[in-house]
Amino acid sequence: MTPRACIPAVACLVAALPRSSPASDWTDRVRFSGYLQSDIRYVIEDYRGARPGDGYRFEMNRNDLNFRLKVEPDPRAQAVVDARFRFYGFNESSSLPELVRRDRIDPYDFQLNEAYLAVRGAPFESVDFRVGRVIQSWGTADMFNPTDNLNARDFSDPLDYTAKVPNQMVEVNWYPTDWLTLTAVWVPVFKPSLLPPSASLGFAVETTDDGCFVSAPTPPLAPSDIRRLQGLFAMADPCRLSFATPEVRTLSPDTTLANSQAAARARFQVDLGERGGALDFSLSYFYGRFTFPVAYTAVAEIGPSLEDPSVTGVRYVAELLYPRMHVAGADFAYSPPVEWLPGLFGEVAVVFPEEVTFGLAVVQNGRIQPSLLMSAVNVPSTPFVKATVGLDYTVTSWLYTNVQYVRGFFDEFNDRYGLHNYLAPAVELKFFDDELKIRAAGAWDLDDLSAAVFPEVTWVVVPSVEVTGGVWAYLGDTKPLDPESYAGRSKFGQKAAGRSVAYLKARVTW
Amino acid sequence: MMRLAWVFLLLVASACGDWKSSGPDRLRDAYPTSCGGEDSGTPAPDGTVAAAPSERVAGTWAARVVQKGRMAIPTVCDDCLLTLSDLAVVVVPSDGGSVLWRFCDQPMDMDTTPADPTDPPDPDAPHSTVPQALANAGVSAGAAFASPATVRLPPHRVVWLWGVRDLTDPAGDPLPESADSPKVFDQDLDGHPGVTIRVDRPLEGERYMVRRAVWDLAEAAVSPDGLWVVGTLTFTVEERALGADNPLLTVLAPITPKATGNTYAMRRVPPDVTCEDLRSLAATLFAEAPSPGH
Repeated sequence: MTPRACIPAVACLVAALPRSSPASDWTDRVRFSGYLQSDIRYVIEDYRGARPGDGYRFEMNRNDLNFRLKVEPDPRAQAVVDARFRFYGFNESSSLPELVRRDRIDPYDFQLNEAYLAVRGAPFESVDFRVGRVIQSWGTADMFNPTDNLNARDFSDPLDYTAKVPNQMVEVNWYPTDWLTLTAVWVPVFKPSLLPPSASLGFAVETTDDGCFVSAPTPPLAPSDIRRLQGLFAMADPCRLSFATPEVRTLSPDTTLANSQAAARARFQVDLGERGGALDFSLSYFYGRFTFPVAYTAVAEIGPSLEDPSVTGVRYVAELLYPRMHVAGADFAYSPPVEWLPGLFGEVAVVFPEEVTFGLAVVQNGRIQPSLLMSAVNVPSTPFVKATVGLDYTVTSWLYTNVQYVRGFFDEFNDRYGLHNYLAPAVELKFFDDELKIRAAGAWDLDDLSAAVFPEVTWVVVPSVEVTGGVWAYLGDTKPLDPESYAGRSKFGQKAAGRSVAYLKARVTW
Repeated sequence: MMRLAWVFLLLVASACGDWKSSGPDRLRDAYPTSCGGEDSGTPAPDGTVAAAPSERVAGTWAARVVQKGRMAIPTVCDDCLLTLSDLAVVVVPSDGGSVLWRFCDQPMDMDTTPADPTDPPDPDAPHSTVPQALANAGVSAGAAFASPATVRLPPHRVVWLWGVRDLTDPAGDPLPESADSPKVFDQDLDGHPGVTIRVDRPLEGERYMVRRAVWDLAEAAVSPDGLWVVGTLTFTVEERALGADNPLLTVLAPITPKATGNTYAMRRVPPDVTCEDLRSLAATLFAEAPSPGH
């Protein structure tokens, strides 16, 4: 078996190593790194949960163990495996039989972040390729990258909002000159974004403590139709209206070739000389799907409750889909030749979306009520722009600032919620030879004036060991600013955004 | 490299197909739609009923009582314009005594956007169907005629009750609130209290109810050709829901009568006319009704 014959299998490549390499070379060709992190979080409010009063409790008690293995069996080949064990630290057993199961008392999971092989100079001298489970990062902005669409976002941990969902892909890079890199990527199978645990609150039915109906989620319909729907539920005594927990289904695309995703990029690196600085810019194209689902259909099935015929039972089933899109992108990053000028970066993506028309039906006895079948274009086919522009500036050796204007947050797709405008500033101060770092960052929605702020203090105990304490807080109204509008939700104020927490992290890296 | 380029081009080409996702179409495929009412058909154009001309009010009449009111119906409108066109056979005895009213049907028209009175009827407006069992139901009328030879219909009150009886004052006693009341009876004999109304919109279902309509008819003269008696009225309608197959349908929308536009028209018809005749010929029968006062 030659290494080339087992290209698709990282395991084969690693297994082939002992035969192709003398034992003395083995350690030179392997790099092992990783980290161990402990993360404790405490909910510091009691009004953003599913029910009022839920709060002031531990939200997280987590330990992560990360390993990254990089093996070079040949000077031109590389295998990378990045994996993480996560122990959640909360007992999930609720019955006697579960007390004999370790995974209920000490639940954990395993995540393979990356696992790919990369070959340089093959099949041609100026061509590289990578195959496997990869996390890509396109664009030049700081985290808010509208041209970066190859991997879905991983918002399962809201504090780690830079995380992405790894995916299998084939990447080819061609270097025709030293200032130009052409990249093509093919992603055979679509993967959606991971949402935070609070996401389901976006579809939650609000009730009082004694179970009386208060409000249902506002669908993406015209205000007149929303009023009709609200009027329907207003017909009943709110304490005799029984809403089952809404069922929200996502429609995933079939695993066909037509549903594959592809992207291409031309990246230019230009040296403008001693007086001009350095300029990187890229032109890119992506075809695929938006990784956050958008509202597609909803059915409110109404009928007498089986338990009590005088109570109206409502079963709400919603369907979401991942619309297709073409994205034409451009980005740049400019580093000035002198330190007293800030660095500039910007990114723009023109999105050509699939049109999505939302439909809502009230169903009784298995039949649609004709006057209560409502629809509205949720995502128009009109192209729209998502963009980020910003600057970063190292004021002194101990003060760094970064500020970005963002149009269109990660999960915004010009549906009836629209595209919002944001300001994302960050300030970092370092003291005692960088032993103590104070960082304050946030994102401010300029349209509804809600915000997420995250000040934190990091103590570098010894090199490679950090202890960080901070607060992640959401500011804004939890109630819709306009109950008759799908866009009435406050971006960071709505409960679906997450909980405000205080946290303490300890991390050692190697 | 070329192969990859072809794959890339293939993907782009395949990406330019049908780019629309329609939620309503998906829902229509998944669920059948209620028909929302049957076609009532068109009356035969030559089906007019032969009348016996006479200047006296005694005789048999086909009556249409038009009542206009406003309603606030959840999900539909805050201010709907409702037009009820009750059809009845009216007998004025030739030997004096009370007028006999026999109810036949209650066509309803609902304009959910009453801003423009010339708008055509809204096909999505709510409908309800009055049970056939109410046809031929007797209606209490309070007028007594001193002389059957009179040529004027004197002012009189008609009280029409659905599903309730034994009221001491049919026009004034409170309507029963509960199906347990001894005054409630199963008038349409369907096993449910009161009268069962089939509701088509906004939700499908059956409502079990009692109802009282009180008409105060103004005096009107028989037309010179003896065919018509046309006048105005004031009215009130009260309803109580005693139950429903969907609890949401127990919520009633009160009718607020309009001050104007409430009229009645009576056309002389043969004594053997039936409610079936009246339902099928109403459009033709009342097409040439004069306006009140003419």
